[in-house]
Amino acid sequence: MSDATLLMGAVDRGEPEAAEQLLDLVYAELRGLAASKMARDVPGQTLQPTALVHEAWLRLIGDRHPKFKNRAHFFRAAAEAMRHILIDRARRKRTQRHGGGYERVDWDDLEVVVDASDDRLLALDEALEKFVREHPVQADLVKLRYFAGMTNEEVADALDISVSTAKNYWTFSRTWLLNELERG
Amino acid sequence: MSEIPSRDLEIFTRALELTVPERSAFLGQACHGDASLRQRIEALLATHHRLGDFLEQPPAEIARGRPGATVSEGPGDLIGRYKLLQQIGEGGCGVVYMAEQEEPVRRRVALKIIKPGMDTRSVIARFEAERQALALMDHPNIAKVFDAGSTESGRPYFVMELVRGIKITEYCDRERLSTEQRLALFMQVCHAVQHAHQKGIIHRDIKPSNILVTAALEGAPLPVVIDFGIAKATTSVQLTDKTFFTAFEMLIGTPAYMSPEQAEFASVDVDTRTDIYSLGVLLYELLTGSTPFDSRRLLKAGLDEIRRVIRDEEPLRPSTRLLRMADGDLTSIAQCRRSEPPKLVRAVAGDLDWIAMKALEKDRTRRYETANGLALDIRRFLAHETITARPPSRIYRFKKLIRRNRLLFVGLGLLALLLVAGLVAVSAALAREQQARQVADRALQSAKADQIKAETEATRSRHVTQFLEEMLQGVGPSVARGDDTKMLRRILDRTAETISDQLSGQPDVEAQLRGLIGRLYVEIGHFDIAESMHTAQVAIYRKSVPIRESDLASALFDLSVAYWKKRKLAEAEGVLDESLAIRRRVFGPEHPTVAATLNHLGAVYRRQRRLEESEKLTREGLAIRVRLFGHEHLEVADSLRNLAIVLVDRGQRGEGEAAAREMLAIRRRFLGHDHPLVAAALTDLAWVVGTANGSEEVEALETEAFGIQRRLLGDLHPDVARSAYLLGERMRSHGNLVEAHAVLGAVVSIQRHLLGEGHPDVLATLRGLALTLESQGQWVEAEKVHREALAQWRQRASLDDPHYRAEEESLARVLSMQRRYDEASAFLDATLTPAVLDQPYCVGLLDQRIDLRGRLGRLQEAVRDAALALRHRPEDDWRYSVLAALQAITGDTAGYEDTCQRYFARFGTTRDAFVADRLAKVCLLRPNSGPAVAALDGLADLALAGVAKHDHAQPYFQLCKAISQFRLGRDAEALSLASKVLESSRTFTHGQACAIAAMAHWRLGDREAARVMLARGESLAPPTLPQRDGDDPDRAWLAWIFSRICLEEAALLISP
Repeated sequence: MSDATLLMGAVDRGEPEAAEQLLDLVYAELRGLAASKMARDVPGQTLQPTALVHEAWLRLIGDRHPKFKNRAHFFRAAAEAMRHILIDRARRKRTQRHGGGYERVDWDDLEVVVDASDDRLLALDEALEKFVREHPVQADLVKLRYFAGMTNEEVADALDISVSTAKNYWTFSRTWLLNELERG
Repeated sequence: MSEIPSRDLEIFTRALELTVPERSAFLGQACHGDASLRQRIEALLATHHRLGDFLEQPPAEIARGRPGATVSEGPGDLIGRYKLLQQIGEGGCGVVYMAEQEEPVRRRVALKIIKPGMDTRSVIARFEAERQALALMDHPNIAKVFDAGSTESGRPYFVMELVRGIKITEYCDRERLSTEQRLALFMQVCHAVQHAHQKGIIHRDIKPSNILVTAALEGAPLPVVIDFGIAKATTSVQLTDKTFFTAFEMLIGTPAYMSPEQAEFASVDVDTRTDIYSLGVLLYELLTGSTPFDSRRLLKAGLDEIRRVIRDEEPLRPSTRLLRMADGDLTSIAQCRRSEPPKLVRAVAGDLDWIAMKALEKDRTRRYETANGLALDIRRFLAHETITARPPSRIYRFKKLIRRNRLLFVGLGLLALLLVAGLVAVSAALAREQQARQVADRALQSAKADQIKAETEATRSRHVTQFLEEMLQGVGPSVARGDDTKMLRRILDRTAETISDQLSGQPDVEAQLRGLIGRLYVEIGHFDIAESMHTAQVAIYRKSVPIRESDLASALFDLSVAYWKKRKLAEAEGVLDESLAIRRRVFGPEHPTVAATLNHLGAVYRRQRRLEESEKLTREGLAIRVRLFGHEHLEVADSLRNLAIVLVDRGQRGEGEAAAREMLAIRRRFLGHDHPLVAAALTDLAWVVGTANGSEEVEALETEAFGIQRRLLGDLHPDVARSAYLLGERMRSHGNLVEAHAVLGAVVSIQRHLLGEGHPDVLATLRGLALTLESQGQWVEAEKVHREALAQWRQRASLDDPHYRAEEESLARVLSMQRRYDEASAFLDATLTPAVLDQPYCVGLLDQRIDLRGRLGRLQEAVRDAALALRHRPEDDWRYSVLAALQAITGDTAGYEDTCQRYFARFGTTRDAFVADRLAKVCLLRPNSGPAVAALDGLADLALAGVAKHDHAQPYFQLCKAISQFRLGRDAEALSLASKVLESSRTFTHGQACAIAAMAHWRLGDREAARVMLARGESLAPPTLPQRDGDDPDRAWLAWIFSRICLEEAALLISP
C-alpha cells in the first residue's frame, strides 16, 4: 500500500501498521522534495519547512478532497516527519561541531541561513517529549502548528476542537514549553 | 472535544482572562490549598509575560546550498602559499579558515574564501586597486589584510591577520559589560574606523561579526575590526546580472546594518558616512540588544520591503525600544548590562538616544561627519558634558512630517482657506439640492419631507466633517507628535472666524464643525474659545427640528469638558446631568456614552468634594465598560484612573494604587510610549504613589511624564506646565530650593499666559513659589507672591475655599516673620470679619491671631480668640490648655476652672502621654482647678510612662509629675523631679521648674535655697514677656504664662 489517500483511510480505521507507513511515505516525500528543489531552483531562494509540507500534500494528495479527519492524519504524519528531519539534522550538525565524523548526507547540502540554533531545537524536542506525556492532545497541537505550519483554524479542524480552544491550548503549550526550557 | 482539559490548563487559561490583581484571589480559590498546583500555575503565569513570539516562527528557513559547495576546499588543502588548518567561521559571503603561511614568514593567518557567484577576476582587480591604501592602515584595532587570490575552483580568497576573538556583541553580553564599558569599547571601534577613513578606506560592512574582541594586554579587551577592503571588492559594481540573487543573499546576513544609501542598489554612491550609519546601528545594538530594524522582520519582508524600511522608516529611539520590550526581555537585557530596567532606560534616554539617532539619520548630511565626531560625543556624554547631537529642531521635524504626508500637506498653509472654500461649496450644493428637493417634495407630506431633508443634511454634513476631521486631526498634537501647535491654532482661528458667515444657512454643518473645532481647541489648551464653540453648538441643536437628541447629548458632553477645564464645576454638572439623562433614554443604561458620562460626572463630584457619590458613579461607569469591552480597554483605563484618584481621596490608598498601575499598564499596551495619555497616566500614578510616601519612584514617574509631554506638546501647554509644577514641588519638598524657585517661577508665567489669572493651576503654582521663597528666607519676595495670589483669589466668585484661607494665613505668617506685627494684626483683623468668624475654616486664621496677640502680650484679646477657636474645634485637646492658661493669667478664675472641668470631662480618660501631660499641667497650674489632684497625678504617671516611647519629652513629663507631687504635698519628690528638669536642656520648662523647686525647698525648710531658686525663675521668666524675633513654633509666650503663674504663687509663699 503506498497511496497516501488509501493509507489515510487505513489510519482512520485504526489499522496498526498504517500510521507508520504513512509517516514513512510522507518522510520520503519531504526529503525527495527538498532535494529536488535544491537541484532545480534559483540560488538564494529560501524554503520553509512548512512550505515543504504543504507542497508534499499537493503532490501526494493532489486535488482530491479527503475527509478532514484524514487530512489531520496526513498533517500529523507530516509534522512528525518534519520534526524527525530537523532534529536529525541538528543532532548531526552538533556531532560534527564536536569533532564527530564527517558524513555526507543529502540534507547537509541545505544550509540554515537564519540559524534557529540547533541546541535550542534539540532542547525543545526534549521538552516536547515530556509535554507529550503530560498533555498529549496539546503536544499534538504543538507539532501540527510548529512543524507542519498549520494555522489555528486548521489545527482546530484537525483536532476537532473549537478555534478558541485551539488558541487557549496553543498559549498554554507555548508557556509550558518555555517554562520547561527556562528551567533547563 | 477529545479530552477533558487538565486542571493546569483550565486554571491557567481562566487566570489569563483576569486582570493581574484579580488573579491572586482566583488562584487561592481555584487551587484550594493545593500548593504545588498553585506554584505550577504561578510559574506559568510568570513565564507567560516573557512569551513574546516563542514558537510562533517556523523552526528554520532552509536555503539551497551552492553548487560549488560540493567541490569546496577543506582542511589540509593548499591554497596558494597557505595551508588550510581548520574552519573558524562562516558568514554570508564566505567561509573563514585558520591557515598557515610558510613563506616569507611562518605565521598563522585567517583565510576567507568567498562563496561562488562572483566574477573572481573583477573582485581581485578591485582588491588590487585598493591594496596600496590597505597597506597604509596601521592601527591596533584593525586587522590587516595581506593578500588576495583565487582558488583552484576559481573562487576569490583573502588573507588576513588572524584575530582570535568573539563578536563584540557576544563579548559584551558574555562579560556582562555595563553601558559605560560598552561605550568605551565602541569608542575604540570608532577610532579604528576613523583611521581607515583617513587612509581613504571605507569598510562598507561594519557589523558585530566583523568586530572581534580579544583579550589583549593584561586582559583589557581589544576590539579589532576585520574585513576592511573586502566588502568593497566584493560588492556593487562587481556584481553581474546573474548574481543578483547572490547580492541579495549577501545582504541576508546584514540588512539590519545596511545604510539607506546602500539599500539603493542603483546607487554606487557610498562614502565614509555609510560606515557612520553602520556604527550607529552597532551602538544601538550595544545599548538595546537589538538592531533598529528587526533582522528577522527584514529577512521575511523581501528585497523591496527591506529597501523601503531602511530608506523611509524611522527607527524607535533606543530608550523607547527598551520600553517596548516585554518585561522579561528588558530584564535580561538590563542584567547583561549590570543594571535594572528603569535604570537602564533612564541611562539611555536623552543623550544616548540622540547620539544614536544622529548616527542613524537617513540623510547622511545630518549624520556625524566623522567617526571621531561620534566618538567625541560619546566621550562628552561619559564626561557629562553637553553633546552636539540634539533633538531635531521643530522646523526640521515639521519638514519631515510634511515629507511623510505629502498629500495631506499640499499647501498646509492654505488649509484654512481650503476648508472654508470647501464648506462654501458644500453649502451651496446642499442649498441647491434642497431647493430641488423641495420642489419634488411638494406632493409629499411636509413632515416626511422634513425628515428626509434632515437625513440628507445629516449624511452630507457627516461626510464633510469626517473629511475635515481627518485633515485637522492630521495636524492634531497626538498625531503630529511634537510638532508646532501654533499652526493648528492659526488654522482653527481662521476657520472659527468664518464659520458663522459662511454657514449660517447650514445649521447642522455649522454645529458639527463647531463641535470639531471646540474639541481641537480643548486639545491645544484654549478653553475659552472651546467653551464658546460648544455653547453655540448646543444652542443650534436645541433649536433643530426634529430635535436630534443624541447629537445634543454629545454637544452637552463636549461643553462639559470645556467647563471642566475651566473649573466651572456647577455648569459642568448641569450639562452632564442633562447629557446623561438623554443618553440613558436614547441608548439605554448599558452604553459606552452612558459610561463616559458617568465617569465624567464622577470626576466633577470629586472636585466638589462629594467623594462618596463620586466613587459610586465612577464604579458604575467602570462596571458598564468592563461588561461592554472586557478588562483590556482604553476606556476601562479611563475609568480606572478616576477610580484611583477618588479612592486615594477617600483614604483607600492601596486600592487606588492598584487601579492606577493597571490603568498605566493598559495605556502602555495600547498606545506605546510616546503618548499624551501615557504621560498623564504616569503623572497620575506619581500622585497616587506620592500620597502614600515620597518614594524615588514618584520622581522617576514625573520626570518621564514631563519628558513625554514636552516632546509631544512643546513647552507652552497646560498639561506640560502642570507636570513642571509637580516637579518643582517635588524639588521644594526635597529641599532643592534654588531649582524649585527657577522651575516654579517659569511655570507660573507660562500658566498665566495659557490659562489666565485666577486659574486654580496658576494659584497652586503661586503658592508653591511663595512657600519656596519662605523656605529660602526671602520674606519680602514671599510676601509679594502671597499678596498676588490673594489678589487673584479675590477676583473669583467664591472664596469659600480652604486654599484661599491658607493663603491668608501664609501672608499673616510672612508679615510676622518680618516683625511687622502691627501690619499682621491689621491684616488679620480686617480678614476676620464677624461673618468669617462664624465659619469653621477661620480657625487657622484665629490661631495666627492668638499667636500674634500672645507674643505681643495682648492677652485679654487672645482669650477671646482662644475661646472662639475652641468653640469651632472642641476636638483639639490643646485648645483647652491654651484657653485655660490665658484665663488664669488674665485673672478669670471662674473661666479657668470652668475650662479645666470641661477639659477633664472630655479628655480625663485619655491614654495618650502628651494629652495627659497637657491636661494635668494646666489643671495643676492653680491649687484648686476642680478635678481631683489624685486623678491628675494619675495622668502625670501616664505621661511619665510615655517616656519609654518619647524620650525627648522626658523633661516635660517630669515637670508634670513634679507639679502633681507638689500639689499632693510630697515636697521631696517634687524637688527631686524639678531638679532633674533643670538639668535638661529644655529651657522652656525651666521657669516653671524653678517655681516648683523654690516652693518645695521652702516647705522643706531650706529658705535660702528657696529664695535662690525663685530669683533664678524670675530671671528666666520676668514679669513682662520678653520679645522674641522671628518664628515661634514652640509658643514661647505660652511657656512664659505657665512659668509666671507658678512664680507668682511661689512669690506669695516665700516671704523675703
